[in-house]
Amino acid sequence: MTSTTPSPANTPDALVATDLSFAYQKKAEPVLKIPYFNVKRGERVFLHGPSGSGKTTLLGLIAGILTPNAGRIEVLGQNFTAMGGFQRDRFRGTHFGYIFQMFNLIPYLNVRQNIELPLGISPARNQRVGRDRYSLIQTLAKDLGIEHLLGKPVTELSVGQQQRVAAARAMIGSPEIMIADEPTSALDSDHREAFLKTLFLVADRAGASILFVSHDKSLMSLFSRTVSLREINIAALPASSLS
Amino acid sequence: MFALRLALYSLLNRRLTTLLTLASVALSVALFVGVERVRQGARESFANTISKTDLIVGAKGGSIQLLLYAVFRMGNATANVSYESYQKIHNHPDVAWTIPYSLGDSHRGFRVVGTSEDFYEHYRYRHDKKPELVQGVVAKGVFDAVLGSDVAARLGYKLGDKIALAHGVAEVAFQNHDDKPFKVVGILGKTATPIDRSIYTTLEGMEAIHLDWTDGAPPMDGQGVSADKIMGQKLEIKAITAFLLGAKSRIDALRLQRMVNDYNDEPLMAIIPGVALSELWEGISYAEDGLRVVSGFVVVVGLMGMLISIYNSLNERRREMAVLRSVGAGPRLIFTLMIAESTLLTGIGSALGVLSMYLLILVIQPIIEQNFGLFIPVKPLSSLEWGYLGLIFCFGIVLGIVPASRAYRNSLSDGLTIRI
Repeated sequence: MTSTTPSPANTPDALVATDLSFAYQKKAEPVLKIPYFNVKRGERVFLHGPSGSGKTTLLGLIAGILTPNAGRIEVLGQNFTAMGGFQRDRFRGTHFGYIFQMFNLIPYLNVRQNIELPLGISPARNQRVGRDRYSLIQTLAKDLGIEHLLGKPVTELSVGQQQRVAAARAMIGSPEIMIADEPTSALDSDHREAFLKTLFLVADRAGASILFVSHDKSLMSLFSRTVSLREINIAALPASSLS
Repeated sequence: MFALRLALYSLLNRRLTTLLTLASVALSVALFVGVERVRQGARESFANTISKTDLIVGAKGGSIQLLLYAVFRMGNATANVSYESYQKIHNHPDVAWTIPYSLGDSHRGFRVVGTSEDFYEHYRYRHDKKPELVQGVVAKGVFDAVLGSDVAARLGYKLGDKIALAHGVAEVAFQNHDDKPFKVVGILGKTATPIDRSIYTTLEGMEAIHLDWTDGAPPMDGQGVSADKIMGQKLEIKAITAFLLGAKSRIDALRLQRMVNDYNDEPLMAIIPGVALSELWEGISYAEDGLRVVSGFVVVVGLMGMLISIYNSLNERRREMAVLRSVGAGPRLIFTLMIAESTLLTGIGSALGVLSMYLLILVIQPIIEQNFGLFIPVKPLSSLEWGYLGLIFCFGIVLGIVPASRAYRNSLSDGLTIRI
């Protein structure tokens, strides 16, 4: 685990989790216990861990879908944990861009409508885009090499194209944090790096931090920092299993 | 608005299911509103079986019974009205016209009505329509008969045919008047009222065939009076069964009714047809309530179909819900989205239903009127019908809560996990 230096007080980290503890049942042993984890502004963090190590749970907590039993998560300096459900949904819609492993797209919307989706839900993001919506989508699509697909139904896209559309949707309206949950695992290895590079490109343009979750360590070298979930999660398990 | 647009896209994407669901909602709504229309049409046609007649006068008895035998040719009179009393009332200064009826005989199941030429002149149905002859002339001679259109069509008679009347009104008659046959001189056009199911003769004709009868029994052999002989003599009418009466004004009608009901010389009764008709309709309206209940259940079934189709779609849409949540949709928006779907389905389905109901009425209106005498008017939705549609709409939305709350709970438990 790379050392983390606290950022200056006037520019809070994109994400800070402290003393986080979570269990699916109240009296059960926590599956997740993380003393400290952060993502700085503009940082590209590679979070890895084998399946079952609690990656999905951690992402649920970070995205505000799950509520920790103890500890707190601060996003952009705001106490995310203390917010109510509605506020948290709103906050997620405004400040996060989320890319799933697969099936990212709403099947009944075309490519352009899928990219626009967050703008219909988050007023803040819609405002940020303003009147430039059309040209912004055009630029974003060009960066991702999908501008010729904008009018197409998503069912006609290849998996790689779908992931690019998902990246465009995650970054429309410039949210501060991109969370990518194994977005490359459905791609073949030739395409992984290319996809990752375009992902970095659009994230940089939006000035977003990236929290990239994967079990595929071959991509590790492309990131500014690498975190092993096993190392930060002290709930886990035998001390011997350090990688 | 966003949810509504999203719901619309989602429905358009599942085109086949959406079409089938819309069809089931539309059909059930069309049936419901259609039944309502037929019910109104039936009620109106029923009320318009007879119009312009102010009073129906007969021997004292039940008013429904009088209505049934005088207008609907059903049942029998228990007593007669003397011709003398009839004449007296007929000549009253407030009376504009009368139509005498002499009932009691039949021909192969069809009632025979002895009447006067006033019938062709003054009888009205459906506001201002009068029975018109399509062939021949009105019955004037003693043994002339005019056929209602159903009678002519069913029995295949044409002008000049001879028919024998039967005593009594049973389909199979035991006592025939076949010694004095009648000649068909005219055929009436279709009226889609009980008029079509009767044969019209003159009062004299009815008197003639019973002339040689004594105490309700036919003459013994050799004592009968032949038809030729009757033609020569002057027939004296002793009694009729009932008569219709048109007064000079509405107020006169009420006065006349009182006068008839208080008539001293013999027990008579006068009824206002509109009042008696609605009384009769009330008596049989449980049938229409039943019809309405059944069509109401059909609507419930149609909307249940919608509920099931939405509910079934939920599982395959869990990933869609997760994606929506990832871009900031709360469970509340998911709920709204599902409600929007059922709202759209119910709304569009109902609109389609009403539309197809109108189209259907336009197509079958002439056929129904021709065959059943039921006139179903094409008119805008009544406030009652709007009320029903509103109720259906609300019910559809309420049913939509079931899958919506399921989706709400799913999206809470699934979060961003994509389950397939």
